[in-house]
Amino acid sequence: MTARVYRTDFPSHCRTHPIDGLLLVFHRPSGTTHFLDEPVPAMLAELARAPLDAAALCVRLCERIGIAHDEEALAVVEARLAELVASGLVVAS
Amino acid sequence: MHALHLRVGPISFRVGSAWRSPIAALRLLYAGYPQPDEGIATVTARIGPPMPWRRWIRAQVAIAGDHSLPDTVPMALRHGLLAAEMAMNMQVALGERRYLLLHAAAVERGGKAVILPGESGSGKSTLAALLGESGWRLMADEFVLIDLVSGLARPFPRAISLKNSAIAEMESRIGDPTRFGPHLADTPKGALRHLRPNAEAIARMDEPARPALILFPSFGFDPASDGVSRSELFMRLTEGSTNYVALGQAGFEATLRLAETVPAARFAYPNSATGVAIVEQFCAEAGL
Repeated sequence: MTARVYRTDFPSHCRTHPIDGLLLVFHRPSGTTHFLDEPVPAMLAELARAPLDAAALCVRLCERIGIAHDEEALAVVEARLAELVASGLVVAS
Repeated sequence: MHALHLRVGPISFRVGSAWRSPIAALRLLYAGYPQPDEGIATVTARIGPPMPWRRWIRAQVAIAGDHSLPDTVPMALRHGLLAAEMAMNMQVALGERRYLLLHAAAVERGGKAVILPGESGSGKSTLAALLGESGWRLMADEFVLIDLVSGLARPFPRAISLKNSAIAEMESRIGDPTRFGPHLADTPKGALRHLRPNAEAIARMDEPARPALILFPSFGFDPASDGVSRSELFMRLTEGSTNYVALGQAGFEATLRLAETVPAARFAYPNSATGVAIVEQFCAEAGL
């Protein structure tokens, strides 16, 4: 089975603003507003560079912050991806 | 259909009623308010019977207008004035697109506005009514209108909705009985009486003010106060806005400008005198 690939229109279709250590996002296509905390902005930044599956995204994120990319990290990334898909900021295919 | 036309700040109403009495009460309550510019109302609010026979038999009042909500519960005709007020509010809440609407009261002094957001029961109306009689100009009791371009607060000095203990408190302070509407007992909100803002608030209804302080009141608790972070302020302002979603990015920008530029705090207070004192203390500290 092929792994699901995640892509995003962030940040080109978003108005973003840092506030209190969070990232405030107005997503123009959906008209929705989001408060994002790490690692979500970093995940969106990676997906904005190129669509990725969860495992590849996990590797890049872990390399970015210098931690091991293990099953625990992958579970966190998959959970956040599910939330991003539900919010409309990320599309899975 | 009985009707009344009036303007409150930037919003002009045409209020229609199947009965004469609510319009007569509304006319007295809004004595001295201007007519719509060039006679053209921008908003229509109506009250009428939910079923034809309810006009006469155990008369009931349903609220309607340009915009409507399903499942609004009709009220007894003796609460017709409240129904008319609610119909006017509903049209603004659902239809306004020129301004960001905040569910809040506001007062002004020296061109600077203090905005008091809060749910029903927070005491915002009572505080605004008291401040409006003691050196502040009442700008709004229910909806604060934020200009999407300038960020200024536009006055919307509707009649103040006094509830329960606030009624006697304001009756004891205001000598002019003609400013009060009729006593409305056993409404869905408890005892209720409307108060017309004073002459200054009405005369200056076209003078905007710059938002300078946002205070979230909570009535019925021991005195306490705490700061509100920018992110929480943004979130609470969007929660208290009836048209934030409908305005799209313009609403986002207007809300963000408030959150980034206006200091905010929350406070609890056990009685009106303490509440007014806390507001004045906050204002002194903010240089207002």
